[in-house]
Amino acid sequence: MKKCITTAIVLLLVLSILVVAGCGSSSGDASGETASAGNSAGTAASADSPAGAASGNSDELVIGINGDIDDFNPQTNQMNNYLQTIAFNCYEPLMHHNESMEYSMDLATEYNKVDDLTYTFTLREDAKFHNGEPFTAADVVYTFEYIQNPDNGAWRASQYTTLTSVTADNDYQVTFKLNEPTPAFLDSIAYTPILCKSADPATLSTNPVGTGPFKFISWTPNDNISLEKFDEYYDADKVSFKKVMIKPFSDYTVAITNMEAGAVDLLVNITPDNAQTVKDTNGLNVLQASASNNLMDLEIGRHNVEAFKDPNVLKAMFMVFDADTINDQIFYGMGNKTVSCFPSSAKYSTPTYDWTYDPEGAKELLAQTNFKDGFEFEVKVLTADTASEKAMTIWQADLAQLGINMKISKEEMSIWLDNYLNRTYDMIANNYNMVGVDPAMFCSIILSQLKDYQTADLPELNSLIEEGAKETDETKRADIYGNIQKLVAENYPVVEWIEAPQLCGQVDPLSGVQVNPVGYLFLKEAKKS
Amino acid sequence: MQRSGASILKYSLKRIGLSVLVLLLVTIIVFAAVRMAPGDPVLTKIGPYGDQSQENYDRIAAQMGLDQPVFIQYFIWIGQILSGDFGVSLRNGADIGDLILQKIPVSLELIIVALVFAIAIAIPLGTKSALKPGGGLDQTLTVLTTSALAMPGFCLGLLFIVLFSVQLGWLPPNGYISFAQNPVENIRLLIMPALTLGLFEMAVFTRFLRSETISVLGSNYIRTARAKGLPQKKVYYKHAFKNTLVTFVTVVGNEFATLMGGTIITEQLFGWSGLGWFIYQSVINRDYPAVQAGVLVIALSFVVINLVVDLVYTAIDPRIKLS
Repeated sequence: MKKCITTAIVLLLVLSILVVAGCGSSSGDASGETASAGNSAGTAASADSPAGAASGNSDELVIGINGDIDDFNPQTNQMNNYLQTIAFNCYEPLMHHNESMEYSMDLATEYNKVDDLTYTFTLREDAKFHNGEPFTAADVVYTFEYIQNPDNGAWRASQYTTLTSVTADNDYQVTFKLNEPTPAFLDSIAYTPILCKSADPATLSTNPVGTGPFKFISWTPNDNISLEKFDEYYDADKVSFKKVMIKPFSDYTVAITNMEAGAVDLLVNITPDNAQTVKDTNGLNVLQASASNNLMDLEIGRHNVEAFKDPNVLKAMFMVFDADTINDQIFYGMGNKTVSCFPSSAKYSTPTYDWTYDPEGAKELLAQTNFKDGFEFEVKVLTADTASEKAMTIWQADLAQLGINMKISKEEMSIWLDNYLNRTYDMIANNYNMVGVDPAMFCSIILSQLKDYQTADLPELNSLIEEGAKETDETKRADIYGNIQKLVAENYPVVEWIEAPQLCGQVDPLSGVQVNPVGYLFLKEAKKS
Repeated sequence: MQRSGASILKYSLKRIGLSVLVLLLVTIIVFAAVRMAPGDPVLTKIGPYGDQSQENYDRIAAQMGLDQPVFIQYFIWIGQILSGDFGVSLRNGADIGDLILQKIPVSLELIIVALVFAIAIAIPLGTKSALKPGGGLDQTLTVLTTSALAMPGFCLGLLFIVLFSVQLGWLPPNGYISFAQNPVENIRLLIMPALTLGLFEMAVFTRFLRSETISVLGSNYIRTARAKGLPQKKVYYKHAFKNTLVTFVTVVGNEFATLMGGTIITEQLFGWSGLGWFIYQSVINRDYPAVQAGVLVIALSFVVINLVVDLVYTAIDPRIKLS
């Protein structure tokens, strides 16, 4: 009797599993279909369509990202996974850089540089915010007031230190006044989403209100971010997807398996390793930006390590940095060796780096320094930055031949940030996406922060950075930025070692996703055929 | 022997009092631990490209309430907890109580289903295996349970996804939907994570029951029962089973409490976002109030489950005294 009961229980369990599995997959689609209609905020929205309901539904796009997003305020969240996926699809700037890094108009229809200190923008008259409010010049004014108010902690504030006023000339024209020429001003504008004046600033992090093609519906931590097509969007005819579901994954192997199963359509910011898997999988393909502003860099603690104060030591060390092998083995040849500290697509980019791999020359050069017997240092690498870790492992072996012992220390984000911002490192691996094409951006974000640390002994470099930021004469700027690149190459405060490819994985039926060299996705015209 | 309601109440009150002390200790430990851990939430908020001036640092620290002395921060937090307020996230100002309430049922559903599955399989298999140690079934089960214990949950789960989602297309590989919203879809999404978790627990329980049963079957009172000529099944089900149940309930209770925050890998693998993942993410982000609240909830569940287990003991075995 007991045996019968046990058998019956097991059979019942197996049968239940098969019935439930069969129920959901009656469409014959591996991914299943959308669970139910309707919508609501919070967890209920995730119930509407779990990620398993992706493919086969041409109205819905499921995007996989690396890690969750917990701040939806475009002025405070500076993380790539947010900026690349949501910031410019929920919100819009006045204009943006397209795939070719040319300005493409969004909330503005045209701009006019009146003089070096004055810019006017004519605005669209048919744009609305997701809360139904019409977009006007007052919203632009509000956005820049918000950014410049220190209490709001807007990370772009440093890009607008020369901005003295933004005024609404009328409902659809704004004028920006600067206190000194700022050639990179337009690049900054192209990456500044416009906020809604009537939205509650206290809830911007959890309830964003933009003008973009997709409006924010809900966020369920570690589960999904749900967006919906904004029917009143001025270009609504071009928008195919009615829903966009963004799913965080902690492991991209799992995410790719989900793509294979049809549960994810687009996987953002995949590694070159992932890209090989995607390429080798039927039904999937790799989407790569035409160029990349994504610089893998090493910031060098010249202020902390005695050996690093001698440029010849650093020169010898980088003579054994095998950039070709690293590009081939880690980036499968999809990266580009950097030509200087600026991305090759940046203005005034001039070849100043020499990546010739020369171990013998390195030994000779090191022998002429005070560190001919070698020394020891540590490089800090972010846990998730597998490309840097692998590159450092290759370099570590070459450095050992010079008698230099490099330890690789993997650190999670908050610890890495502590060390990065306090400049408490011998050497640290970073990854920087330069927004725009004007190198003043790179200088202000990366180099200027080093002026009290590893470039403290390079006053010329620091004054050139300040000059370049306000010089308007193209010839003079080319000279200034040429000298900056030269000084950086000679003194090694930072070394940009590769332009890492901007890669996404996508399912074959997906098309129309635009990725610019900064890695930002524009989903307006994306569709599944 | 019937136990009086008063003695149960007295016992429960005594345990609750001790539990409050345990929870108080937990609040102190977790509060100190998160603050001693390397990594500064203010710098995490500022990020690599934000304003790195001291003035901005001080402003953000003040906004987060981290400019106060640590013990003041502790008492503010305790005051909030006592008034039922878990505070807000340092990352985005979201109400932590709401977030945790969202996650608890998600975790509970996965854990309960996995444990029920594990118990339903483990009891018959573990006991049958113990009744004939060294037999064919016992040896087969030893191999199978050892394999289940040795196989990392991540690999097993990934194998399930490849088989049931990619190859067969029967089940969605990832996501969560509440049972109230869509029961069928909820169960479809639950099957693989519950199996992944349940198979491991099943192996733990089966091996435990086997060894415990073998031990009980060697007891004097069992030998006496056998000497009286009682059939083997009657000896086991009437005399041995209840004794194994007492310790088995403890093991199940401990596993339940451990799993409340310990299913992170399964949650991440299947996008079944519960309390474990929430706390893990909060630790990564150095979101102090979220970590503190999450750990406190888990500690509370440990305390409650232990209390329940102790009370269940007395129901199973009347010899156990409420003292």
